[in-house]
Amino acid sequence: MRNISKKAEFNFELIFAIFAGSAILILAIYGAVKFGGGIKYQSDSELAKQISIMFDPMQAGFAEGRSSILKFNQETRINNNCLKGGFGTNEISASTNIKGKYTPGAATSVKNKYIFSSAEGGKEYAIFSKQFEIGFKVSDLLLVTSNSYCFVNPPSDIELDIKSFSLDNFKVNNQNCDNSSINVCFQSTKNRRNYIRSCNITVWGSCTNCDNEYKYGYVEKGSNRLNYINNLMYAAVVSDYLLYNCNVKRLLYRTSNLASLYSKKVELMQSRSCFIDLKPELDNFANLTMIASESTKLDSAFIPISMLAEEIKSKNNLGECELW
Amino acid sequence: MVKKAQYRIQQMVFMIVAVSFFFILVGVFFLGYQYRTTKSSFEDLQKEQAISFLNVIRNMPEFGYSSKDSYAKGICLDLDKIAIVSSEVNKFSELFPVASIELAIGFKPKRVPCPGNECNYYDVYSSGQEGLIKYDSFVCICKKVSENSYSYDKCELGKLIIGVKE
Repeated sequence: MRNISKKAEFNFELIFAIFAGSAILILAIYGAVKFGGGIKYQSDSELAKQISIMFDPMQAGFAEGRSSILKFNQETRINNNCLKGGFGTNEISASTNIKGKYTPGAATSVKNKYIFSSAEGGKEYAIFSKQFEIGFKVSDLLLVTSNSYCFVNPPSDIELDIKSFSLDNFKVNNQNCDNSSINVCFQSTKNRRNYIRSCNITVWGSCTNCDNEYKYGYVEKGSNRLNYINNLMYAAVVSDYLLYNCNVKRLLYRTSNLASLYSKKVELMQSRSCFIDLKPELDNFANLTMIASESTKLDSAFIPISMLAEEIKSKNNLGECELW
Repeated sequence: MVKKAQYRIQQMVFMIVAVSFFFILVGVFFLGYQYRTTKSSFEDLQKEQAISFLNVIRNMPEFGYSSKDSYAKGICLDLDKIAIVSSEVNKFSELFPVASIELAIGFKPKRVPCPGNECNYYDVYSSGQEGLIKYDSFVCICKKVSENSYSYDKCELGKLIIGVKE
């Protein structure tokens, strides 16, 4: 009888200890995992904010362009989501690679920058900026990529531009181009060229009466066609199709607002006898760019915009009191 | 025997409660530490952004003086643009990553708000938030003027004041 009661006592204590111990252990492990995830989320969110601030000095300003390298200690993916509506926004989030998984932190909204990138991860990113000018300066295009590009037979001014970036992952004419790099070929609508290297991306220039036929045209990427004007060509090469279209519409919206601002500046300047006859053209330009920013397709929008932008630019340069 | 078993169970329960309480306390202290660290890094980033914006604003086409071939290009602010933006601030406010933008022209102690006679102060943008930390920087402010068919840049010195949430 005594033995039975002792056995029962021992078993109850053991079972109780096992249950309580495992409950504490499970809770501790769960807490540690959640906490680790929280710390990663926090550091990724901070990283996204830091990246967005780091882009500030990267803006070209009145320089033609700027370039730099962004290095991370571990594989990191810079996610870039574009939202339309008004000036729109680029939502930047960072995700560090842990066991092949990328879980992004909180996104940082960037409303006054136009960031073009594609969704790939890497330890090293090339960042370069180019001015976006369409009659007047609208903003800087910030291009972010971890891919390598090989530009095959680009026109001389684009070749000079690419060389001026001094970036290792932008090469011209097979100059140490490795097999993993993306080949960007230049084709003319006037005469087709034959390339030995296969083209992943093709730039088609279609400005027939211009000094440089690649002033506007389109970039062919698989089945997608990305219409461009001026420096948007680089953005089209580097960026995803949806991101590109969204950012271009944001840029056109800002162009329209700037044209209205300059139109009002004409009035202010006239009130102190500083004359420039550009108001009707600027109002027309504001309308045209606003319509383009709201349209679903950009196909033919760039040609009339480009022509009017040229007219405005030359009229401004000839004016007694220039607006910009 | 039963009493002894009950006593031991009570002992274990007490220990479990004590251990849980200890972990909860450690957790609370750690969360507090994390909160303070996050808050201070958020404030640092806000400060960094405000200081960075003081430079960026001169290159924004909505503010920057961009008259061609002018020495003031890329350095100074455009007074006409500031007057227009501050009168239509709702249209442009989306573009500002800060809580307030003010511009004081000259260094007179008395601020006379613009537009108005002999005004010297533009409250360009205010998000309406309170408890802002303000950072300022000296800037040149220019406008194009024409006299006797000759146009030139008329510039003066001022102070650009940026506010960020504390």
